[in-house]
Amino acid sequence: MGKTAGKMAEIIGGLIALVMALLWLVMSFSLDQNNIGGSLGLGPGFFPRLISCIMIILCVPYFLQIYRSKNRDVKIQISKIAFLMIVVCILYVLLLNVIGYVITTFLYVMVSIYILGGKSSLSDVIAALIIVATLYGVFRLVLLVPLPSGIFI
Amino acid sequence: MDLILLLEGLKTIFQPYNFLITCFGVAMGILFGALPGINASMGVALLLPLTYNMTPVAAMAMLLGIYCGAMYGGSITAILINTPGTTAAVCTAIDGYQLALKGKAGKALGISNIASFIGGIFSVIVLMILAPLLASVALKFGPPEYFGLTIFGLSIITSLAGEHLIKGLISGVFGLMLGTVGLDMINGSPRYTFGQINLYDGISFIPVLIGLFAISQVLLNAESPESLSLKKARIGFFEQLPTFAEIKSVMKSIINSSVIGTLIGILPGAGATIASFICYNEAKRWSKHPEEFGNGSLEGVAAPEAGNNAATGGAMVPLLSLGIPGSETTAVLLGAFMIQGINPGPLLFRDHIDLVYGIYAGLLLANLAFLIMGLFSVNLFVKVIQIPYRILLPLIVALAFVGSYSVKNSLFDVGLMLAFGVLGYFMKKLQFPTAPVALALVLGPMAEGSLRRALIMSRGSWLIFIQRPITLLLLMLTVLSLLFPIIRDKVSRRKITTNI
Repeated sequence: MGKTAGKMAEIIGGLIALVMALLWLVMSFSLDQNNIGGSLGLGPGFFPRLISCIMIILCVPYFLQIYRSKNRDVKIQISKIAFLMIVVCILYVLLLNVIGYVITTFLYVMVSIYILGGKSSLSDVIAALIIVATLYGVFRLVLLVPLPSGIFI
Repeated sequence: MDLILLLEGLKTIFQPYNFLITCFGVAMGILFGALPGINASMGVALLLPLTYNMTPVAAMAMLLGIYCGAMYGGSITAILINTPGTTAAVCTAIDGYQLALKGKAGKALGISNIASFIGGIFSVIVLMILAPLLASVALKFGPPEYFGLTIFGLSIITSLAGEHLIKGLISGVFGLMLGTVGLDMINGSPRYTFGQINLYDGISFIPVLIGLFAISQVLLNAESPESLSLKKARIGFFEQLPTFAEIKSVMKSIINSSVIGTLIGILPGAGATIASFICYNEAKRWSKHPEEFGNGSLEGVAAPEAGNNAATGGAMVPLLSLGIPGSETTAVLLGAFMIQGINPGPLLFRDHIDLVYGIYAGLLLANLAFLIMGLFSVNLFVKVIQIPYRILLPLIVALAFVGSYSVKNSLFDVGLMLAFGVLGYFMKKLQFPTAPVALALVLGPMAEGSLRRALIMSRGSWLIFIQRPITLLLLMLTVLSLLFPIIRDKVSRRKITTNI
């Protein structure tokens, strides 16, 4: 279940690295323009420029390797469960400041347990309650870390 | 090594709070180590946020407890269900599971425990002797030497990480690029912050760590969240104790493995996993009964276990004396030092020698702790690790969230952690190693800083890197370590073609 990618995924990965390197390279020049300490040695743009060039150079053997290995296929499968987990995590972050830590975390744990195969039995609910209570207790009460509180706690 | 200072350190570590927190760390480590899919670096990263308000000694002792405990804990599941909890226990599973099938699981666990203990203690003794020596040499290091050292560290980590050199290098350089984000270290101008104030201090290390190591692994585990089911075997206490004859038969392997494991741990970039493999192979090679390997040889359990625990003390040598992390887990430990506002390295020995001896004492206690916990309560651990993954994984994520948040009370950091978690997930899918990213994120700024300071020292002359002998040596080692995988591949390919 899930999408199968393969070489395409590796190519996309390489392209992302390449684009990032080009971005770093281009921006490195404007960094040096702001450099007041030109006489103090290397400017702020030198190192980024160096490493982005190295990255661009590295992309050559990388793509070559992909091109050459015609038979070996890297099978990539992104499972539906992992995808759902990611979505739920994103919602968790977004809702933290809105609803507050305790409730959002409880909801998150319950939903995740369900996604991972739970049947929302009583023991799962109790487990979720224990998790939230322990984390809140340890971080808020013992370590005195202020936790996001939205409308609720 | 100063015995009086060591006694002071032991006194500190045996204070009730420090003692308990170390034991807590060891217990957590055993659990993290035993659970497949969850390993030492993940465990240290997850519990790192707990150390913010702790004293430096307590913080390091707890985290080191996790490290040492995990190296023993991995053998529990390796032996009982042929599923190593950590990659460092893969070799243990080979003979350990065979022993379990023959009804000797207790014996295997006992040998594993004792071998781990001996390996660990040996490596701590080496650490206590070697680290101050290295630190005194490093006190004479200037920016050029530090540049050589950080570059060497980066090269080893990227070239040894994973099977594909190119992918390792790309991961490493990616980490270097991430390290350039933030205000420039010399003139303060913002670099690659894209207007985000949250990035002025650079990309926060802890959320990246937690994301790359913990979240990515959770996502991978989520794909098959079945829980472990261990047979309801009760391991008796006396079952685990080896007979005198058995101890004699494995002692040579344990000693050899302790030495090898410590040496491999000292080498940056090579850690417990490689140590366990090499120790297993060497033990097989030198054994009087090599035919037993693979069929339930006690040596086959003792050797890798002594090796992987010996690597823990060894890995602390470069971290403490030079400030260079040599592996994933030590990179996380570096983060722990940073939180405490302490820089490991030669200055640590000059300004915080009490912390150093506290760390030594903590390591000694940690090794003792898992020995006792393992022997007396292995059944308890077996019970706990049967917690269903559908509950365990959300727990880990929730812990990761609150931990990342508590660094700077920042939801941005939580988002960062999640982003790197997803990134790490895809990287692992594409077989890009993730450890180089984290290590380069730390070592990169160190390297750049040293580079720029060195060139200021030499007034712009690049010759300084060749004129200073230690720097030159380190740079040559760097080139060697980058060529090593290429040579290794060519050699193995030639072997394959000549064998046809």
